[in-house]
Amino acid sequence: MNFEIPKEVNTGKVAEVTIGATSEQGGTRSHTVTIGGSTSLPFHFFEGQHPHRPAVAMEVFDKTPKKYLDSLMDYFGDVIDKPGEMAKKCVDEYGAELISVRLEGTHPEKGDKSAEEAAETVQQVLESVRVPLIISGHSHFEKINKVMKKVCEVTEGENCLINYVETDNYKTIAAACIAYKHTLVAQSPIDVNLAKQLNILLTDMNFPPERIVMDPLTSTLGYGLEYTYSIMERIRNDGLAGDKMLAFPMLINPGYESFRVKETWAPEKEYPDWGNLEQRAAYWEIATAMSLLLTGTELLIMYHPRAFEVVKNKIIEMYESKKES
Amino acid sequence: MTNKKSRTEENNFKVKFLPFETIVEVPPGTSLLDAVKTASLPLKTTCGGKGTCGDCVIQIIEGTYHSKPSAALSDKLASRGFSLACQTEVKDNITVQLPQFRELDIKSIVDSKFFKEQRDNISGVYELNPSVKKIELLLSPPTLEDNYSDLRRIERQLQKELALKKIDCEYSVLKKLAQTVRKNKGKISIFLSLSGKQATVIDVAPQSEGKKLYGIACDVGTTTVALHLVDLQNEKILATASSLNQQIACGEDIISRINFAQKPGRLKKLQELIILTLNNLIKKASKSAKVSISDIYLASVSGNTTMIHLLLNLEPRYIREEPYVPTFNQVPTILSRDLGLKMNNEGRIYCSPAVGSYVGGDITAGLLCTPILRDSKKVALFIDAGTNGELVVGNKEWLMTCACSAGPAFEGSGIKCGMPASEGAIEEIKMLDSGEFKYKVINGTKPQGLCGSGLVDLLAELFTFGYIDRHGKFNEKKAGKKIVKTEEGKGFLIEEGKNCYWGKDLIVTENDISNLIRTKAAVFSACSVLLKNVGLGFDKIDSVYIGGGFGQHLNINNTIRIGLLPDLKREKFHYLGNSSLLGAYLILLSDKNKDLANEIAEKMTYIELNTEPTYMNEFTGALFLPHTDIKLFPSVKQTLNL
Repeated sequence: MNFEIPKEVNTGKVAEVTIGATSEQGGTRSHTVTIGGSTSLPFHFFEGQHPHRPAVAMEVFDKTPKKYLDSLMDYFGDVIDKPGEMAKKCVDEYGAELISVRLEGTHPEKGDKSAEEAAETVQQVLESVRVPLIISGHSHFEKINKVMKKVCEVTEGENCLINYVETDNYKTIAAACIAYKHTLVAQSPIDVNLAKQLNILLTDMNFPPERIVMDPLTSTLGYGLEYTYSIMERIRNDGLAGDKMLAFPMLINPGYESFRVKETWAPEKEYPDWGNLEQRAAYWEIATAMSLLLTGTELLIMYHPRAFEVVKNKIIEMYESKKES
Repeated sequence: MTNKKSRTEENNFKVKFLPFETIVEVPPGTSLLDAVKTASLPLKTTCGGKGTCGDCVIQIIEGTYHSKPSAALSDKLASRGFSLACQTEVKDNITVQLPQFRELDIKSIVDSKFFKEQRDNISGVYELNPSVKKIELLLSPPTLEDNYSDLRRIERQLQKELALKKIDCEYSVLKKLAQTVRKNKGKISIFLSLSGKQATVIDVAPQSEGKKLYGIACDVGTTTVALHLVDLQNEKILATASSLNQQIACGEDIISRINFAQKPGRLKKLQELIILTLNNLIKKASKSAKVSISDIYLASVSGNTTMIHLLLNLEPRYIREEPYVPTFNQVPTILSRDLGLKMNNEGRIYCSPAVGSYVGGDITAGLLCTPILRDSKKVALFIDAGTNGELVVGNKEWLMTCACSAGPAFEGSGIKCGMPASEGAIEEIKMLDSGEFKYKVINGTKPQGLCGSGLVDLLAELFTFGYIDRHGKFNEKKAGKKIVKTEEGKGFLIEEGKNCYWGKDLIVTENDISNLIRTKAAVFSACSVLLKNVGLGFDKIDSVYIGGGFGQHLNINNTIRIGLLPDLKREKFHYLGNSSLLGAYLILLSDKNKDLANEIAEKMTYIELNTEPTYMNEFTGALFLPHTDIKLFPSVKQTLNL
């Protein structure tokens, strides 16, 4: 008997967003990364177009994170305090498609590095790798506005992904992104309406919609992953149903989120039942990333090289099966 | 020891606060602000008593005082006896006016255009048939042949005239009966409390005394309290009085009041405060109408369930705890002497029936004033946008209701530039193309703040002219110099100090705007959830009745523009004002309305929004101007080109 898979026809389409700029485009990247463009739910190749596969980034730091995991030190211990070299390692050795530079050290309570120092760090990374950059900030409004303004200025034309703005603090950074031609992450706390509101506010100030990526502020396995999953699912469904203000590609941070929870750092000695720490840490990040890929993630920032490898390979494998079918 | 104590008391000064008539005794040198706190009066400060914010301004009517000058108070006001409570020391027995707590600008809905047109069409009945009646009797004098007791002879006469089954008599009546019936040759006035075919004699007086029968209708709101003094022999409203609910010093919303009541002695204190508020209003109203308090025999009170619990000194905590069960829905008739309310000692108090913990007697009373229960086909929506917002949808056949915690913003409380709808409040405001405001102040004085209707206009105008974004944050580029720094963050200048009553700039802060948006979102999202529950779209609503403390007028177009009310044809909306008060008045006038209110209460199906999974989603959707989903507001989308 012939079985025809019932198909959902959507009127909407996820916006296509390009990060990075080559020399012809006014930047210095060897290539750009484009995400989004899907016309059906993720991996539903039988139902719609999926022109770009999700991209996977890795992260470097302007200041060694206080609680950086021992299991990651084995991989990055020699370069953790040298963001340029660490970025190179991520790209050359592990195959990172983008590099996120986390500027946590500029937070007044975590080092209070100046905007100029931050700009220097970013430039170092720009020089050491040729992949597009993500610039990741923090929630101290006054300081991050200063930092991002400066970073946007010195990276003019590079079309970095500036990560992030939120409803209570979006105008300064968004204006800098418009002025210096960067792409922007709109972050909102796990809520469909709040996500949409921020996107409306951004487009109301004439921010180009093709330069918005959403961060629905996801959590990690065991910490409300189901809830974030369902919110992302609703955002994507609404977007595909034609709500343009929700039809943007989505960014998630499985690395940052996973490595904050006990399960990824509690030693095996104390929790023998939990099994091998290194494996556990990697698996935690993989489980988080893979789950959220299924609900419409287009961009991931990962930490553990083994987790990175598994997730990236899986995405490639699934997109190759698309060609076959 | 005793000696020492009495000496201290001798040295204390008496401070009398108007309009509350509260008196406290404090030692010399006490700051007036501390005296206000001792008196539990709701005077607030932003600066915490440093003399910089000017919020605690008071006026000293009588007595000498010493006050430090402050930049927050103009010399002109200082010369008129105004002073900052935190900068003033008590040095004498003084009388102090708290000018922020003026009478509300309440005109009875009875005189409104809506009521005049609809009064034969409302769900209640508009007739005079109160449950306390005054009967004039002529008792034949007792003789050896007709030697029935005094009481028996009254009963005999009453039964003849009124076909009653059973007649009781209060002890206080018995005590004076013998003299009274003989004083005026048997010409007596009997005051009867009726319940069906049963009656209780609650007072008796010689006709020559000319005792009258009055009643009061009260709306006991979380934020404001209002009452009508009514002649129950001709239904005339003789006086109206209103003020803030003095409990406000113990918390602004019902949840904080319930929390406040949880410590020993506090529940009693809350009861005392509301009784004090009511008694001051009764005193004021009866003085202005020249009515003797002992002639007030009946009170009809409507209020939300928590307010009635607090009025009756009943444990309110179970209202707040799952499964949210109140002590009562229908209150038995209460005696005034049990509460200490200023009326005749045998006076009867009736409270409108509640539906549940969060839909109270103010709503059943309010519904009596609307035509909702007259029609079995058309669907109407009733919204009472008070501190606790309640909604009802339905018609004669069915009624659904829910409640939301809207907050007192539209009653002018909790908003820096807000105030109740009383003298000095901006009730209408319009922005001109020049960016200047044009406004109308109640009683035409210099403005002191904005009442609910003014705040709705203000929000709509700031939004329409692009001074705030859809999230309610200032567009600083556009607003330029109009953005000012305040102790509570950024603000927008509405009017310069030199043109304002208090001599201070009138400013709306970004916080105020967020607060207003949260309030309107709570009401609108409750509306959406309620309608979704009954499977109706907004387009199926034939009429909308709005109650609440916005003021006399409400610009419907602006309420829709900010997303407080659904985007329907404007002629479907009817703004009632204080419908709870009018409902209480209808119940006071006619016993039939009691039964109707009970029927309404029983007919209503209550939806608990706390357990409604979609409510939070609807709420965050409504936290935007006018709404995240602009399709819900097509006319606003078109006008503002969103």
